[in-house]
Amino acid sequence: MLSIYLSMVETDEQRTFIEQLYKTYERKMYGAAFDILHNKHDAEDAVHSAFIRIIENIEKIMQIPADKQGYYIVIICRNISIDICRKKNNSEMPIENIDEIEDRISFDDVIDSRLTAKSIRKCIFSLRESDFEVLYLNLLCELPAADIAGILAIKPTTVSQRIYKAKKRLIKIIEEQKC
Amino acid sequence: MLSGEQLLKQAFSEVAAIKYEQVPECRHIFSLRYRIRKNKLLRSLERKSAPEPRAHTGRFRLKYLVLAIIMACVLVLTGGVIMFWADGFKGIVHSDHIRLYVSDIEGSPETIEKCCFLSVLPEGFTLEHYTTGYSMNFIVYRNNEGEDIFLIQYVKKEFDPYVNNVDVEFTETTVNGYKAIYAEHSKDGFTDSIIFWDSEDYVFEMSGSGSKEYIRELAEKNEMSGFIETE
Repeated sequence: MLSIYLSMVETDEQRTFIEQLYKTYERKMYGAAFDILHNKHDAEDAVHSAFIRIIENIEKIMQIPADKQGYYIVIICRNISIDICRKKNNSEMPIENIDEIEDRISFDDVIDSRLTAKSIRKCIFSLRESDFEVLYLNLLCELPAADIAGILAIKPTTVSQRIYKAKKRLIKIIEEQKC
Repeated sequence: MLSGEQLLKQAFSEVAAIKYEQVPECRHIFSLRYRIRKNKLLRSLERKSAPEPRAHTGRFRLKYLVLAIIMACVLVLTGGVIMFWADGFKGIVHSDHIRLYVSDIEGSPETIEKCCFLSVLPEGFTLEHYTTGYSMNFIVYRNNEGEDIFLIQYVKKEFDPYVNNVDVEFTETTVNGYKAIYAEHSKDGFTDSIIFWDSEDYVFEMSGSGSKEYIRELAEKNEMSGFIETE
């Protein structure tokens, strides 16, 4: 297992990057994990697993702008914490029979002069956390579904559908806000 | 004039910043188990220099055969379990850690009857945090530079920590006449050390920055001057 990590981190720059992530985000990640798990040992396990996930996707994460990395890393930790929680509660994920969805939704037609910056933020705040996270990764971090799937450890088709449904829900919230 | 998509991205960025600030940053003391796994993960990221090419002698070396036979006998006698032995301590050796035990537990308290705090501290260190329990106390001292000294007090019967042994070698020593083992690890110019010693009633573990002799001397000064005890 260790040799796999070694092979994924190829340069001194990457190794230094990981060490810097530990220094900057470790406690924040613990806070995010503990918020969900309410157990110190499980939260530490989640943080450790999150760093393993980060190392597995290190090249993609290094391309994320520094000001977006923080919440990106919190998203990874939160999702791992939710997985731990589900396993502990023995709740199984339903097997999704999902077809690839073509996403041609554009927000240029939806957002018009009737909306202020404050009202757009309000709409985004209304989103479910899972919708917000997947749209954050897709729209703001500009990651394709395949990359998001690797980060969240779910199937790309599942990610595609989540992005599509999240956008639809956001559009509905925005339309309601305009009325 | 920004497009709808650009306005949305801007709003997402602002909301993400707010949500990020709302995530609590806990002043959590990570457990030894976590720190061991973290250090192991970070060490696994270090590049190893390529091994030097070995000359092909074309002959099987007799001494390696003898060594292999001796190792096989030892494994058979110990039931396949590799043991760690030191004066006052013993342990079971695994691939990346040793599970330590103290050799003599007879007559020692079943619970922590008195909590022991350091009476002698290096300059600049103050008590940062402590947690007490029936079988273990965990105390952290910190200085302004963020360096920590950890002191853990164990009931002897409950002493069985997992101790990292990757690039770390434990050797015997004493602390004010008490049996002890200690080790140090250096990386990138920084050295951390750890010492375990079997005091009369309890086992103590102390770890922090510095050489193993530095940590041993700190432990000895505290044993000689006496701990600050509370019930």
